[in-house]
Amino acid sequence: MLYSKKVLLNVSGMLLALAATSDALATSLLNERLNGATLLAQSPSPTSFPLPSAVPSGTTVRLDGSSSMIIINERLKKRFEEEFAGTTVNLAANGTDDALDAVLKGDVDLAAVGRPLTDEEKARGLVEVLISREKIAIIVGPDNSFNGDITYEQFAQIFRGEITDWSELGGAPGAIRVVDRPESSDTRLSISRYSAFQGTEFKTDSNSTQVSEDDTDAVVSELGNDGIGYAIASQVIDRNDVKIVRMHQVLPDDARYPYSQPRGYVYTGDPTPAALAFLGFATSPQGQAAVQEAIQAEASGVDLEAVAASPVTSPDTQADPSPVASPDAQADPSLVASPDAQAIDPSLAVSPDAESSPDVALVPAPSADAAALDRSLPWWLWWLSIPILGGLLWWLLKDRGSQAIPVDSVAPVRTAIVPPAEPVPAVKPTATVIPAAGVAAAGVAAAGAALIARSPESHIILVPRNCREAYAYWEVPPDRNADLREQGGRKLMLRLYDVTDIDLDQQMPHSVKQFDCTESDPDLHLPIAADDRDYVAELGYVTEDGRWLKVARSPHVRIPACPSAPVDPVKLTPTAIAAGGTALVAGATALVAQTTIPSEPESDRPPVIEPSRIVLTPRSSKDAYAYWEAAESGKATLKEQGGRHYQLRIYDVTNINLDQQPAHSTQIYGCDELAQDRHVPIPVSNRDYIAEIGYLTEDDRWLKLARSAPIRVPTDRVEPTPNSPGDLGDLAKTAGVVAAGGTVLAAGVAAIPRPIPPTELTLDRTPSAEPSRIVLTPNSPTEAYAYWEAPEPNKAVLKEQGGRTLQLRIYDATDIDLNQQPAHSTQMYDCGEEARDRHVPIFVSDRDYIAEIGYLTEDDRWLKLARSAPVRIPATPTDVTDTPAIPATQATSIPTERCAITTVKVHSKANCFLLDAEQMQRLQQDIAVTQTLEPGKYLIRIKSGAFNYGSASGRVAEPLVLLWIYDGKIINQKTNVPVGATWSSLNGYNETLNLDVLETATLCTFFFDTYLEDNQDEVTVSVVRM
Amino acid sequence: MEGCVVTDLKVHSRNNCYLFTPEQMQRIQNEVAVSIALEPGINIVKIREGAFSYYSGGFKGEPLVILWIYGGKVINRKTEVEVGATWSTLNGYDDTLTLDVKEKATLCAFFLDTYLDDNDGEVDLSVVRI
Repeated sequence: MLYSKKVLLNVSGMLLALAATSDALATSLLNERLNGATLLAQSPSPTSFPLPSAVPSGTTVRLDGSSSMIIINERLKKRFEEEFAGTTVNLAANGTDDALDAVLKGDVDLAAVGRPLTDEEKARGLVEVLISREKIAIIVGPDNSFNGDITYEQFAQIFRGEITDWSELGGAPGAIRVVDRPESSDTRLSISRYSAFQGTEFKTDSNSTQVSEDDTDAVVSELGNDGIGYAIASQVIDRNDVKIVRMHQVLPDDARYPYSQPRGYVYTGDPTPAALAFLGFATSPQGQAAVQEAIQAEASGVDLEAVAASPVTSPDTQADPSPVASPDAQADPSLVASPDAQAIDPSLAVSPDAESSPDVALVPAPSADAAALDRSLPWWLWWLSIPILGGLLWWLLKDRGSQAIPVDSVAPVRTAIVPPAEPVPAVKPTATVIPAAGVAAAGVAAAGAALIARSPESHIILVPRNCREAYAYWEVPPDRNADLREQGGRKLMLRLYDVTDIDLDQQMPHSVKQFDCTESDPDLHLPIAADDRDYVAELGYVTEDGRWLKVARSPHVRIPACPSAPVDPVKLTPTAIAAGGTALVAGATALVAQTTIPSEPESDRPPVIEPSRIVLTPRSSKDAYAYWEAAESGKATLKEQGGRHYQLRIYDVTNINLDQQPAHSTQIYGCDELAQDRHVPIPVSNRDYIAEIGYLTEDDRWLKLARSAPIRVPTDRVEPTPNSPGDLGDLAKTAGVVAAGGTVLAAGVAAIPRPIPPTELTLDRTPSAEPSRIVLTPNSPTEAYAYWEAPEPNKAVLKEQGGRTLQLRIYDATDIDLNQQPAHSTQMYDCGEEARDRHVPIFVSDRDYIAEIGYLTEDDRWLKLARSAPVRIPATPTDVTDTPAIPATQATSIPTERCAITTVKVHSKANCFLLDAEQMQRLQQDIAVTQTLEPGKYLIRIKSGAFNYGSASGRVAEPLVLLWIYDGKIINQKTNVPVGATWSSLNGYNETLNLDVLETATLCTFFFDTYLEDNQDEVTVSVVRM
Repeated sequence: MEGCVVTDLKVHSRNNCYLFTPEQMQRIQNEVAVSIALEPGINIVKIREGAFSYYSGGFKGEPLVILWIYGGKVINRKTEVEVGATWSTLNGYDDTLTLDVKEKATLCAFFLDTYLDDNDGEVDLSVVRI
């Protein structure tokens, strides 16, 4: 199918920001009429995806979508196919809605869209990646006498027929006629998403003309002297037959101009490899250059006849997509059976006789070179996946938390006094009490709830210091500040909301205080007017016209209650602090008292609470930052209980309750007593983590001082932050959060030696004739592979000693003797009893690592089964493969063995053996033993018997069978992917195939061979429908 | 096993064996499959990444691969039988084929299909020799 529409673009255009929605600007727009709608924004996109290093030849990207994306699609297709030889991008332009349906059905990889997704569409799993953003210009005819300025609210009123005469806008009297676009127009849909149009049905009144095609020329031709319409700015900005109307005193070439239309691509939540590759390219510098070319081509009036003549196909015109499993495939007459040599030459047999047929069996591996090449290349999809998913997560999260409080409840704030526009529940009148002593334990506990809110770019921390003071610290990338200033932000402010017992997204805060901030000082001490209440800090910019452009918001933090104590009237100061504001509540029905903290003598300050608390915040998809404040009293208590080794622990707690279940993985870092923060690598992103600080006792008990709230580490792209990794700690320290002496403990300087616990076992003490052993092999600078063998008798001994959970531990043992000193870091992975290997992430390369396999007891003792030799994880990939294991220094290591990891790629086309339809039909109908599988759960296994290629060579039979399941919809629980057909094998009597049959399917059981006559025996396959 | 339906299928080594011609097998081994030489020792084969997609009816790709091991004596630890050649598949990222290679052998990894053009994806196979 060719493009359905011809789009003639003949203007030179401005280059529009490659943008993604910014929640800050969304907030700014929402501030005018906040209603929770997702809005568009103009900020430059922080999202860029790296160029794939390679895309397999034969990759086909199927793309359908909006006609507004035709030129961009074409440009990207051309560049993509040039960049990656052998790839194909199939284009169609059936419209956004149809394309989205096609994506959902899996008929195409990507939809090219010219509008934002609706919430409903997002809920269906669709994810958008913005490629460009176009301003939408409001236009009138060149002879229209109106030369004024309108607001977007006025344009909405014009659109709805509420403003019908130009004189209402300051122009000469005359009726206004709206020239509207068709309802399917992406530009129209984009405008409809703005807040000014929310709350009422998006439709014109009788004062309108609606063009039939989403064509700017058609709109322009309809304008006349009384019409007002809208169009992509780049399509009209240089035309002399239209006049662009200023909005809010600016034209569309100004970043502050409000209306824009996003253009981009949409995929399902689980993008296809082809989609990932194309998105990776589209967002790469090369791809972006192509997009810019396309935009310029649009603006310079490229006639799309040529474009439309390009090979664009709709999915339904593509070649037969049926796989071998599909009945269609079987019936496809195009699948002509190939001449099949039926004569069997036993000398060429590949079963037992294969050994005697070197021309067949002794095949020099043709992929040896290719494999080597493969090893030298990062796997392109994996390389892509992190940033892509990061972008996905960023996109998904971009609007979270962006819904500011209803605007009516918080008027635009120009001064420190913020009068709510509506009555709000009165905060209890508070007599400010400066506690003479420490705060009660309950307060201490509450104060420990320091939390960090984080957007992909900016975050703010609100930490209670005591019942009268909190501390806010934030990080905002400079370009984010610049962006918001460009959007009209004039003054950086911090708002402190009293959110006790309310949902700030749904209700008005009890009070709002606003504080001046400077971009150079990322922190502020905040006076707390009312104690024993919940607060939220929000950082943002106030614009000239009072709009609030939110940068980041912290979660709720409970400020502890002040203990009852005599009020010292000297310390009650009803004036605002220099940097602070005054909180008024409930329309002056209640006044929240203020406290002047800075004027107090240091000695009179309320003593800082000493809660033991720890905060964990994600810094990127691979890095998190832990900050803690440990009460000396708490530390002393735990030391009295036997605490010896001060440790930070990072737990992967995804979908578990850490109090009830073991963590999926645990990282352990020895800490100096004075340390208060640490950057920690994150093994796997898009998972939940918890940090704990505490002590390990000599007998391996864990005494916890504090535990953080769980955080989700996003699959974010890694980008430079304004501060180097170490700067956060430094900034925090200079800001006063960290108590004196706080340091980041460098890896490897944990000072407290930890002798081997007496309960540890080595091979020498296990009774098995076969030793337990474990091998750790570097796989890449970021990954290693552990393989172990632990005979059951050895395991049984440790179980008798209390071993409960089989665990793999990876120690960073660089330059230390693990028998005498604690590891620099430890990763722990719970393993199933049947597990024998695991790939583990390596956080820091060019260091030595040791693996141990063993059991963890209920009381946290470690019973070691085996320890590997130390292995240096090299810094460069080329040093990784075929790395000889370091000669063993432990009894349990494997001496002088070489370990090698080979990685090969098996491509779906290049490495797919073609059977014709006739052959498949024969397999399915004549050869295999078949069983219809009605919907339900099945357990399939070899019950008895074996398959024997023949006895000539004396081999015994092997229990195996091959399986082909087709013509339905099934899920092999090993892959957990619904498919229409799949292959499997059963090898051995213990292997099972667990199938969820969603639609009736057929199971075929059979063998493969080239010579039948000497085959012997049979297997019995048990098919149990549960 | 109340509530369950149990069916036994007898699969015979000759009657239910699909015959590849030698030319077909040679093509699989020499031209189609990715081949890896297996040196004696423990070799662990896993799918690391990726998926194979037929693009049938909108189904997503599935991490699977078909394996043919030949040319030397091996023991698949799942069967514990020493054989000169064997078939297996890997299904999913947790599925592991542990081969005790007694004599140098060759591992062929490939897919089967009747129509290639709409296939998509690839799988990364790792072979770790201990």
